[in-house]
Amino acid sequence: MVESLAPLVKAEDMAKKYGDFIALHPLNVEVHAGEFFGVFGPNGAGKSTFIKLLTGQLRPSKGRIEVLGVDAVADPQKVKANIGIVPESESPPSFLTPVEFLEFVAKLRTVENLHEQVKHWIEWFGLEEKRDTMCKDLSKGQRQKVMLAAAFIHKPKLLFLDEPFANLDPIYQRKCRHWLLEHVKNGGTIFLCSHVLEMAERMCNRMAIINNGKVLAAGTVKGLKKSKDETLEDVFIRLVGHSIKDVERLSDQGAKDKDIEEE
Amino acid sequence: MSGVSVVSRDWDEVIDVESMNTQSLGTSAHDQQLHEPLRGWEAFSTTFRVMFKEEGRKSLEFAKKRQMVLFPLLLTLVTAITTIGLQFLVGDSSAQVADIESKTFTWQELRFALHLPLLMFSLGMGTFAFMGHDAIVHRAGTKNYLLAAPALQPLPNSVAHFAYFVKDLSFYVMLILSPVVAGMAVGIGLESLAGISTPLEWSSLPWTWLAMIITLAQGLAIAFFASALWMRGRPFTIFGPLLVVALGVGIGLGKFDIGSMLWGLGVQSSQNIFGAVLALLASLAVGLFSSALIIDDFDVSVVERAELFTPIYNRLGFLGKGEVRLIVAKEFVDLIRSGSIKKMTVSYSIPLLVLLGMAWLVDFAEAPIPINLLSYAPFLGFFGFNFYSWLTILDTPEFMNGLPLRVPQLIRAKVVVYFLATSWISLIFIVLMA
Repeated sequence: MVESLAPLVKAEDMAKKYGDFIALHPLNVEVHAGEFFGVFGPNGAGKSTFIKLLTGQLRPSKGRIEVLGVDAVADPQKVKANIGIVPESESPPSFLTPVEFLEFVAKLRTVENLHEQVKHWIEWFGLEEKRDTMCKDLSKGQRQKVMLAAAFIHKPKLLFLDEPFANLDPIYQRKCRHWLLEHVKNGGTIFLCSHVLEMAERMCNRMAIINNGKVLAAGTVKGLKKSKDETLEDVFIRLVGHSIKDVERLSDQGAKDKDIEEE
Repeated sequence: MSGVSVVSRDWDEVIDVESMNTQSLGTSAHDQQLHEPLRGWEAFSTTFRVMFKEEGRKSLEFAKKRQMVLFPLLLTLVTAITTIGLQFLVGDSSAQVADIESKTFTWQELRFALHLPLLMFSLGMGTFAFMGHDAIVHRAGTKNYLLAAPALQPLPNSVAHFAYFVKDLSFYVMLILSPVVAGMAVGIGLESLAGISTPLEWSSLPWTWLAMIITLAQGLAIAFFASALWMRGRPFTIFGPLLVVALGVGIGLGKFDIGSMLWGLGVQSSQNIFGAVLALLASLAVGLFSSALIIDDFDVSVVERAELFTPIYNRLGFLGKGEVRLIVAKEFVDLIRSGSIKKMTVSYSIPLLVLLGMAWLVDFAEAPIPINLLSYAPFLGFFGFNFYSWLTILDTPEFMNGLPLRVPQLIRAKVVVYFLATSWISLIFIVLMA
């Protein structure tokens, strides 16, 4: 892990409100180099808002944000130029081919050896046969691969990933997971948002659990568990407000309903 | 130091003070050399080239390859025939005889008839700020466009919008204006080949082409400017429509000469190259200024609303109990929630109000109206076209694939919505006219 005094990412009282709806309560965050940090929470917890604020995609309602020494509110383009972002549900432009989109992104990001890099990532993601197919005609998984390639192509040290493996097949999930872990080993830093707890176990060295726009707990994956026997799923259910018994009761009720239907 | 710290506080614990503190929060890029994002010409040219390609593909999908080739050819053919027939249209042709002289047009009237519809067309097609907003809002949907790229890439929203403006201008010049001028050339060419007479001369073609480009650029720039101001909210959303109505009344009263407002017409009449360059640069400058008004705002607001579907459905009892009633109710919810109903009502009402003002001026004020009322047909036509376009692009229809619905039902529902949404405006208009 890279040791350094100054954090790569820092936000003070960063918050977001849409009308009367508080998407993210004021939050102080610091992420240092060499971290694989994951933010986990149920659907609609505020994970994507968290990542969009840090990456200059959204303006905060309150607070200040700084990434790599750049004010993310005043100069979001400079922040975007120096990080990699994989959004949760965005697709590449429908009427461009994967090669054209990657060339466009690489030009905007002044990537050296542009054509070699594009070729490399097209091959890496196994998109050779689809290189000249318009993105609208790709499968969801293939579109996600193009988005991942667009985030990696300029080799950013700092990556923000929002549900990065959604729609990816297990082979490419594994390939990407290994690449990301290598990236962190080599001094890279990753900020990840997901609701898939398995990713925390396998990849993150630190994590936070968020619900209703508030961080409920943060720490190492081991540190969040109360006992040896407690699973991360137990921790999650405990923190987001449901007791294990509640969940079991709901499951039992579901099973009973099924039995009645079958009878 | 290493690690992560993350702590939440309650909303009210933090006082909302507009921070003037410009002191750094102390983050660092460490050994990473920071890149400057592309700006200015480089960002524009990179975006423009890809957008041009994207536009070609979009048009191909919309019209298919054969129609894409046939459309300019058809334009060329129609213009060639019109060019041959010009001798019967213009007053100074040797082909005409004394008794029909009063029924022909002057060259100036014909030029006016060329530029006014072109301006109306470009006004209808240039609302780029609305298009950009829609692209950003829908970027997580089934279709994503380069206009939404600034949300994720290091590209200013203003540059993307300006590139879109120049791309649209270039595309229309290529697909519409150039085939029209080519048709004129064919018409003149037939004079020497087939002995058909036309009063149009070779020397006027470059000027016609240039003048049409200027009118097109002017209309796109004005519409872009208006939409950019509209997106900034009040007071522009109130004063903008009022200004348009005042302008229409002013033209009707003869306070403004619409001919002098058509820069392209002026250039074609005067054949002044300095004026042409100036007019083109002015249009581009308005486009550039409009793009500077576009802010980097990628917020997609999260708003909770009271249920609308059932109340609307209940009011549509006259449509029976079939699927069409369900689709119409859903379409009305879309219209209201997307805010399109306001935009559409304004864009449908303004030409009608101008027309009403003109009728009033003719009947009661006995004002000399410089424009033939028929000139408003394309005006209304293009706004009506926009209206219908808005109506049909509100929501992606893909989700209906899994529902037990048929395409004719969907089309019927769209027509019903169009009728219900516009008929009351037309009715008020007719009553006022009466």
